[in-house]
Amino acid sequence: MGHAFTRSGPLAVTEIIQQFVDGLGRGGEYALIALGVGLIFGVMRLVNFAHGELITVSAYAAYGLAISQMSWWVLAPAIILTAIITSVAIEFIAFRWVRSSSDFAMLLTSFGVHFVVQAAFVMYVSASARHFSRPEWITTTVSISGIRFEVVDLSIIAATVVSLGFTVWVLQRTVYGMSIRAAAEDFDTARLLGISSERVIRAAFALAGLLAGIAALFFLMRTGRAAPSAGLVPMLKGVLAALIGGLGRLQGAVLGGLLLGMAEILLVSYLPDSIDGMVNGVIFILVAILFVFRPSGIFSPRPSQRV
Amino acid sequence: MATSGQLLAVDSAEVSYGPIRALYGVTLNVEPGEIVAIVGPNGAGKSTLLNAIVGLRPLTRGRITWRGRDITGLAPQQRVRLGIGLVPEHRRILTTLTVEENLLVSATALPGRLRRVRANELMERFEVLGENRSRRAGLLSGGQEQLLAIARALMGSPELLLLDEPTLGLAPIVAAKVFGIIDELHQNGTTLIVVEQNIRRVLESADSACIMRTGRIVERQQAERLAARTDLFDSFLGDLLPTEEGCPQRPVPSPGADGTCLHTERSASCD
Ligand SMILES: Nc1ncnc2c1ncn2[C@@H]1O[C@H](COP(=O)(O)OP(=O)(O)OP(=O)(O)O)[C@@H](O)[C@H]1O
Ligand SMILES: [Mg+2]
Repeated sequence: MGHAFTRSGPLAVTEIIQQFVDGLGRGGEYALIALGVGLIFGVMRLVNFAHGELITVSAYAAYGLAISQMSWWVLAPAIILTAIITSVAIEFIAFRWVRSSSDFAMLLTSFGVHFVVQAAFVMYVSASARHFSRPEWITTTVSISGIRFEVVDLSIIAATVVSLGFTVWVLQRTVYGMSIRAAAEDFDTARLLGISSERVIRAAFALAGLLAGIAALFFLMRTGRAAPSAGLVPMLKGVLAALIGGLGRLQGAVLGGLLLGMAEILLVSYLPDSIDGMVNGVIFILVAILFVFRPSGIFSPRPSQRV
Repeated sequence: MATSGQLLAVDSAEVSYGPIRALYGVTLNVEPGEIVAIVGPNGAGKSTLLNAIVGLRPLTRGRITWRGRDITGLAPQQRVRLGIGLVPEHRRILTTLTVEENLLVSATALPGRLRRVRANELMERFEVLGENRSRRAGLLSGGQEQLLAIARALMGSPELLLLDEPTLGLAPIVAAKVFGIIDELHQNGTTLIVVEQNIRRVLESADSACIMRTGRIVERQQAERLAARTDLFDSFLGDLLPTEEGCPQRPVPSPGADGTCLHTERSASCD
């Protein structure tokens, strides 16, 4: 992630602003993944540990196109489209059959999908990572009133804002979105009103795939790397963000993602260099401590407010 | 009893919750345009029967036909499209959606534009809903919630409307309004099945009534005849018309003169 500044001299306003933008960039990516995790949890009560596979499959699609000399103008839409198709396909092939069984069976299925996809790439492509070239502008920085920003961070923030705006519009203004919210609140009642559970679930998976695809796009632009477990860490961060925000709360997922991104950037900058590599460990411990005090996430109403 | 003009026929329906059997071979025929009241003590299986008719509870045996067509295997959303609507027990409104959204997500068979037209119609008909259209439904009062639950079921213009304890927990004046709506729907030709604790009032509106006990329909009678049977009311502790905070007192079980032993046991929270 971008650190266009050096850690010397007094804490300047410019440094704070740069870190803030860094945090937003990273957090935006998590927010996109977390929102998808939250949408699927909302309609299926499933924590989808296979959500990272959307990024993995997209990564190989990007690799395949990149080695055929395609430009990023082709790769970008292909990555997003691949994530959407993969998401809907996973639902159709795997989750559809276990939808009415226990939550535990669905959870196991999501692990199963994760391992099957991973194994398939190990067996049929390679166990080692494949690299492809990143867009040239990825390390470009721009200077706005004396502060340097990485173009990629600014693009992520812009893309996040646009995708979240689009998601809010779908959820609030379209009958499809209202149906997703209805099913997320009370599935039986939604069915009673004539809402088709299949369609709502498919719509939620498609939307989650779109959001993951946009996150994958930036992730892959930055890493230029396809590996069988490429999606694992982003998925874990997304699930974590969704948990921080309170599973199933869509605004919570977004805020959880931003918060997680901010926390990571702060830890990376202020932890002593000797334990820099333990950022993820520290994050998980902090989140664990959080759950001791707020078991249903930071943004959930206090128990007394629950009806 | 079976005639060609039947709208709904439930035939030897059995429903279980895991090992617990809730319906034992229930048979119920409903003619177009009639109001059937279903009364009986708590746990008799009244809600289970309505849920089975609308498809929320699968039958373990028996079948359900709609205009002569077997619908036993259809999903709830398919039955809704055929013209069956349910106002569920405890209303089950979607609290995180606005009043208007609650209406718009109903009747998904209608194309979007017609759905908005229909929602507006219903919000004019039930003024409180129109006044609160952009309000989160979770903020409504009990009576407003009930009207919303009814309006929502009416979105699809059902031919058969099932109401599960539509006046439970409502102030008398609001309960009277709900019965007014029931009568109005009846006059307009809608067929209704109404589960009610307020037996006396529901028998005034109904054409016939079924008494349910422990998963069976033990008796079906014309409403006037049943209304004349004072033993029923005694055993239900008279006319229960629950008020807002009101739970009826726990009644003393008393066997009916002709052997129909009906007694009400309110849940623990009511004591
Ligand atoms: N979800 C459930 N799981 C297990 N058992 C259930 C469930 N719902 C109902 N039952 C049982 O099925 C039987 C019938 O319940 P049902 O709710 O249909 O009765 P009811 O006549 O509607 O009662 P009430 O007047 O209290 O609403 C009861 O014995 C009840 O305990
Ligand atoms: Mg009931």
